Amino acid sequence: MIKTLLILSWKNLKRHTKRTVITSSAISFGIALLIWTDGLLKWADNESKRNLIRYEFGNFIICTKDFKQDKDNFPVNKVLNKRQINKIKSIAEKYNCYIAPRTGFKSFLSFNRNFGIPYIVYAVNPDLDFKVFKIKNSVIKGTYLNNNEDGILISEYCKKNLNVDIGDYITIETKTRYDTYQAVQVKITGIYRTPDPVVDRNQVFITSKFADRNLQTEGTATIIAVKTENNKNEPYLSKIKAAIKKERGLSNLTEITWQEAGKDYLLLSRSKRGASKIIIIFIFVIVAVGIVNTMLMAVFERTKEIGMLRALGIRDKYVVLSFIFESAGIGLLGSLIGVILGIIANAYSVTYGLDFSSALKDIDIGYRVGTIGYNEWNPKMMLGAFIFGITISILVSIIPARKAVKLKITESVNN
Amino acid sequence: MKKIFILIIILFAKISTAETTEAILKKIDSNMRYKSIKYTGIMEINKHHRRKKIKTFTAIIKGTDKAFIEFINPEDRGTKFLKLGDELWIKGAFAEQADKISGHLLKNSLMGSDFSYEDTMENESLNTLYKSKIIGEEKINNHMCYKLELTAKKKKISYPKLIIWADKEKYIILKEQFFALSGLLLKEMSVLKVKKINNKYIPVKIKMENKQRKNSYTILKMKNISVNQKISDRVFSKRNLEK
Amino acid sequence: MKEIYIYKMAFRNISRNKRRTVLSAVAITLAVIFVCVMKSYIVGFNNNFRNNLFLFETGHIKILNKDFIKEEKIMPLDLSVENYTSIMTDIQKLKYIKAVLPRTKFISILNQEGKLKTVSGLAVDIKKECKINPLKTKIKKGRLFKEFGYKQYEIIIGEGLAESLNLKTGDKITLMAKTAEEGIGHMTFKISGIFSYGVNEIDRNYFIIPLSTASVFLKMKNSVGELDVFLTNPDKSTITAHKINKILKKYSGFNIYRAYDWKEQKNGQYYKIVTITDKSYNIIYVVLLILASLVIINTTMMVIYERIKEIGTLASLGMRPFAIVKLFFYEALIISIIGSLAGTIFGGILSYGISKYGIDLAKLGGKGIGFQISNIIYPYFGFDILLFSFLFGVVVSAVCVFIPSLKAARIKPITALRNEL
Repeated sequence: MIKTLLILSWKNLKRHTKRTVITSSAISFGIALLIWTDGLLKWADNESKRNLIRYEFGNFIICTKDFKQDKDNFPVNKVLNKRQINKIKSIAEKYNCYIAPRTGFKSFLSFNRNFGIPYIVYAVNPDLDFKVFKIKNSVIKGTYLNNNEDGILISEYCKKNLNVDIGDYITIETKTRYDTYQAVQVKITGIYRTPDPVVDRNQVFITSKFADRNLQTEGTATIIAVKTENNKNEPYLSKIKAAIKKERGLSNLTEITWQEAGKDYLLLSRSKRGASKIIIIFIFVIVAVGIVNTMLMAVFERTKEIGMLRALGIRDKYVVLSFIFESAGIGLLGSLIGVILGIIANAYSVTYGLDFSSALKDIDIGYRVGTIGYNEWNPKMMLGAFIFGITISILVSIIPARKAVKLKITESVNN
Repeated sequence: MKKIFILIIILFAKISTAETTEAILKKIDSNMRYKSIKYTGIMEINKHHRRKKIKTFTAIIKGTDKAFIEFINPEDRGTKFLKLGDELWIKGAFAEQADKISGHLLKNSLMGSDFSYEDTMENESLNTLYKSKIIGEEKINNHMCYKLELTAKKKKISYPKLIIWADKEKYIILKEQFFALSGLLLKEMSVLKVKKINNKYIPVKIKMENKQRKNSYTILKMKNISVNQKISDRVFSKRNLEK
Repeated sequence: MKEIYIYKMAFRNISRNKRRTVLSAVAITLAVIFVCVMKSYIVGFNNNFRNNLFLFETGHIKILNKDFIKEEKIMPLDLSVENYTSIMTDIQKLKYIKAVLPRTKFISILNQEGKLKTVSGLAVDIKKECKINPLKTKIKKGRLFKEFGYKQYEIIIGEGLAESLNLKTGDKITLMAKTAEEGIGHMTFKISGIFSYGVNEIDRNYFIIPLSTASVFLKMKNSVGELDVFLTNPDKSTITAHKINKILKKYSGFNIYRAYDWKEQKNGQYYKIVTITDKSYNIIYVVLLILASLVIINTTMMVIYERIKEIGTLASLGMRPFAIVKLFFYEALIISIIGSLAGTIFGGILSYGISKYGIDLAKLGGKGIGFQISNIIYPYFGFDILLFSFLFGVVVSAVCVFIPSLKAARIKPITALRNEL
């Protein structure tokens, strides 16, 4: 019997092609939109977090326990020595992670003996740093650092702040690792711009070799930033932690994950998701309304048909079932096409994205997103939307179908 | 034979010069230290494109590790500082308790002047921290001075190199230059006026110039000076600060 | 056929098939409610964003000492706006001026058990703030600070900041700040209350003190850090800034003051952000409008196709094609007016309700929203939205009846009777 019903439903769907098409296309559009919008929002949310990893902390930071306690003050004498750095490098390489040793100096930058502005001057290893941090890709003018040249890489914000440009010599005023006053002039060789305003507003970069010569770092570093190959902390963090514990020379070390380090920011922007969830809810609502309405319409229009089927002797429950199958069919068709359309739209946006760059040029928003908006895959939402489409269609047809069979056969035929 | 003799003379000369340099520095050090000194200070702070600011304070200093400073000009009235050894405390007019100034805050300038807190905190004598070499003789304000180049003995030091001009007769510093590790001149101090009080020569008008900023200098005048009087240790207590 | 007869037919048709009529009308009602609520939310969201930006960051126009901006990272208080009271008096005479708020933003250090923490402070003139700033209503615990005739200097603190520093009403804190005279301001305050604007950026970072206290603490008797100007019409900000700059020339001497239109502040970034947010939400709005239209189109079209046979019957009875179109059109019009009306009424009630109650974004999305968006959004209730929603319902359903009924009317009656199309 079930098989017959299925065939009957299928035939009915084919018969009322226009209705089937209209209804299912409404469902498709709604579902595709749901999937695409969700993909965009998911990307935006994750991108902020990814930028914390790309530009500020890597996946996690290894430093001494003393440093961690005082990290907001950038103590440049709480260091890891060369031997420790090399050991960590080999441990990290064993687990396919990249490392970037850095030392951050709280400094003032000035130009032509004018006012000094506070910045953190990071001494980095240009051969290692770019594997962990995306600063190198963010260079918009001049060149990235290299060990053969003394130069400083400043942000576009800093350039405007001090009113300088490539080729100008600015003075770094700071204290060295031995607490000695240092003022050294260095040529601006590069200008960068990242989507992360915290980096752009506060950080400038010099090579660690330059720091060895001028800031008495002597091959040491205060932090080692670690980047894993899949952007996730685990299992690398635990493995590296364990390996460090085993080494006697590394006993004074500890780790800070990007989540810990970026805690304040994450708390502040834990959800633009809230604002965007509303949009998703709106879409859900209107899609549901659309499906409900159409299904009801479909059922009520066919009261006569229902009466005739019952008059022919088909049992009530099978009549109801046939309608449910039909609705399921429309829901299935609509959801399937919707999901496919959603996947295609998502795929396009994942690869090409939406280019805001003309609008967002020179911008420094409060949150860390770039100028091209991509999408991300969210299989859960795709599956969810698919199930949602079918479920609503089915549920919505049950009541009116059952109502339809409650009428006396004669009434329904005459309707 | 002659060669050895010449060598010995040169060696002797070197040793005596070295001794002389150290002795000079020791004399300078001792001249700059007082058992105690009290004075009223007037600081005139000049900065590029900013209005001149004048601050007045009373200072009570005992030895090299105790100091009590109170500002009396209207804009800063009631702000007090207490230095005890390595610690610097501040109590403002409207605060109920004193706060310690430590860490990177010490790098800041004292009330916006060209003296930093750290400059005022230095306890050790120049002789302990630096080895010295006479590099010449120059006249400063018509006084003949030794020109000494001081290089730090240890790595951990604020200014790795100093050049001082010390009056050959009075053994006080008339001019001092402070250098960064790179050799860039950071600050220059000039003594504009010296007074003899109780048989000691005391600089009573000092100019401190920030050489890394345009038009940035501070002039400190000292008045009502009394030296080496007895001062009770109670003055240098937190209780006195928080009064 | 006479017009009136067509109308009568339309009415009869409607009451004939009640179920169908009701379903159509309900679809339209729901779509209209949806459009109404959604527009309320979007307008509310954008307004909220703009208002927070104006209130806390930019004002409509901001008057600053021209040299302040270069060194704004260290917030030099000696590069302030002096003689601000006379500047305020002069400006108040201009057209469009709603309020001029004198404010000083400063950075201070809090010493908590040996750990130094940097906190932001804001000094305001509470009497003037009240015109624009709902601060008095945002005090969640304790009370606003008292300014005169009391023993202790008082301060209020943001809710998030109080939480992170473990402070509560009645606690005493001592702040250190660089004064405008390059001295050290050092003052002990009593926390008289805790405020919460529902905007994390403010609640987690700021203390607020009265300007009278700041004049003592920061030695700014006759000057403030900035003057935030608020207009009756924000769109006039550029013209008014221009006029203010003319007035400010009078005060130029050692200091040069300039008025900055919010659109040009921070190199025009705020303006760009606001524009992008507006545009993005407009796009979302249009897309959702299309979705809502689809619901109406869907329903209406299906109705037409279901009644092809009827059309054929009428045609074979001799009714002219145009009359048939008119008939269906009038039917749809009546249903859509009823549906839209109902939708507008319910939508209006609903959007009024949520405009008073607010939508709690924080609850939806976890602990906090960022960048100047409040945790609770109060959607906008306005008759312009209601009117638009009503017209939307009517126009969309009318249009989507028109086309298929035109098509239907051109069919040969026999084809229609055979229920093919």
